Amino acid sequence: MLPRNQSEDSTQRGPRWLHLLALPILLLASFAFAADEDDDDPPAAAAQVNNRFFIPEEHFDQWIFQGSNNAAAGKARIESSVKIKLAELRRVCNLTEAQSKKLSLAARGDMQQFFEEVEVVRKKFLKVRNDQNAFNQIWQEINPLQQKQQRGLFGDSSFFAKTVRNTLTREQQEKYQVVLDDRRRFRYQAAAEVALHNLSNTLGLRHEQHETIFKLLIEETQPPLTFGQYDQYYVYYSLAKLPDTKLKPLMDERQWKLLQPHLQQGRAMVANLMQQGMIEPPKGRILKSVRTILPDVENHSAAP
Amino acid sequence: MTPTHRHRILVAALAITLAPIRSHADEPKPAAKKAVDAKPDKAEPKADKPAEAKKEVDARDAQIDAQLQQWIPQFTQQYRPILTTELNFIRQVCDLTPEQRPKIKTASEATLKEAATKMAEFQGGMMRDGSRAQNQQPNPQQTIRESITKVLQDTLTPGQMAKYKTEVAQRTALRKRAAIQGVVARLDGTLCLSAQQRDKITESITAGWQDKWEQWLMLSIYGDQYFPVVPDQHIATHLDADQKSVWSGLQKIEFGYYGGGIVEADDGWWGVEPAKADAPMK
Repeated sequence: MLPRNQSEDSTQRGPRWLHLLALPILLLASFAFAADEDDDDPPAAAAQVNNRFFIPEEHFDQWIFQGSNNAAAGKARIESSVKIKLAELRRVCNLTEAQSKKLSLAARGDMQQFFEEVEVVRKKFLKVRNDQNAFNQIWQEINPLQQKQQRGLFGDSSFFAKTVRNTLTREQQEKYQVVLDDRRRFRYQAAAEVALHNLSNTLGLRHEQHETIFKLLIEETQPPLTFGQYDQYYVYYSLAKLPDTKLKPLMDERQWKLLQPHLQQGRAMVANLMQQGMIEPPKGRILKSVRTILPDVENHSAAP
Repeated sequence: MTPTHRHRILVAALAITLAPIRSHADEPKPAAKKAVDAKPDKAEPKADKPAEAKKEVDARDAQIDAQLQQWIPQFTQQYRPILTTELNFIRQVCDLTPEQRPKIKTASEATLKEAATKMAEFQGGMMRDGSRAQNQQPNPQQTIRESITKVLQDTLTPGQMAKYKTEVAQRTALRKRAAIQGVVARLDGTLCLSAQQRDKITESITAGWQDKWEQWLMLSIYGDQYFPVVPDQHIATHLDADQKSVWSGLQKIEFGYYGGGIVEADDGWWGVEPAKADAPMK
């Protein structure tokens, strides 16, 4: 575990050491990618010849819009994401024309805001792309945009999410909540399967044990409010919340002993899970992470 | 964050870093292209310099051989968790007698070396001719499991062996289920699949399953950033136009083989000394 102060610094964007790790990975990956695209890339070749620090602009776009070669492709992908969300809402909630327009407009607002933020940082990037030290500073501004794009632009605090809350009727919201809950359950089952597989590498769980523990997890614990790289720890956290009287009889003494460090790991991750928005924070604290876009979490709370 | 977890992430990060290169492993790299282009010259060295050409090739082969010897302990260290996982499993399901334990433990070390050697030779082959396809890459999990099964066949009673085989088959099915569901759930979160789409994609991947896809179980390490390389026929066919657009833009990587931070229990149960730390990476 990280010391508490480090944990708190990590916010929803993940541990700081992971950010540090991300930079060289992205640099290397994007350089490799660029080399594959065009071996004769003039700026990159010039940088090598002159032995100077220089980052082509397309790398900026590849960092922000990961998986896309340029900003246009990245924007098109985000627009497709909006269309997917709207299509689902239409399918599930039978939106009226007016509702559909309102939601579409709200989503455009979120996209516009993001693209404007990108352009502000792009201008700064273009000024420092020849200067390694200054670039390291600007990375602090690139990284949050990258994270925001990865998490999705339409989380709890977005115009889109607020418009969904204010525009859908009670009946429509209930219908949509069913779809979202179903999705959360499906993903929780997947996370539980994977976490049990990892546990099994150490514990050597027999088939019957695996299936019984899986059933216990699904039936007696709740899915997290959101998902991400901490899914496995959430499952350990959920296992740790189960009474010993239910879990212990399912394994032998050795397996029980080997399980303890994992349960301890789950308990120790509570602060991180809150920061990630996977469990509810204590009342009074504002959760900034991305969760379901509907407000009705009371019945699904995974609060400790 | 525990050191074990950090180690896992670091190794995983290495896999990501190499992914753009690995994904084009079937294509000759620029350097390899030059080497391929230059082959006719090397195959038929100029009449006045045959000795130099041969010397050059021999020197390069010797260098690769030396590199290969360095890789074997590195891969041994990397794959040891795979072996430890198998031994933990055998320990729980086979009810081994005290006499059987050291035989299995000792013989299992050879399976690890076999897997490490196969991978080192594969990498050496890549360096020699640069044209081996990625799909020829050995699967260390498979190598270790198959070799251990042979060891067990020579050591276990028929009853123990039958029990082991049943558990192995069930475990394989569970891992397949977990890997597929993990990917489909991630897709669902990104592409807002309908229940029908989820079912169709699950069915399609299940039908076209390849053993190496078990590595998708590592997906959770990467959060929501990366997806595995899944053939389009299993995904894109079942998506609408907008979902296809998003799917095509997602970052996809091949996962390397890594067994996780599984450490061997040092409790003397196997009746032999636990494996010493493998040679450190250079």
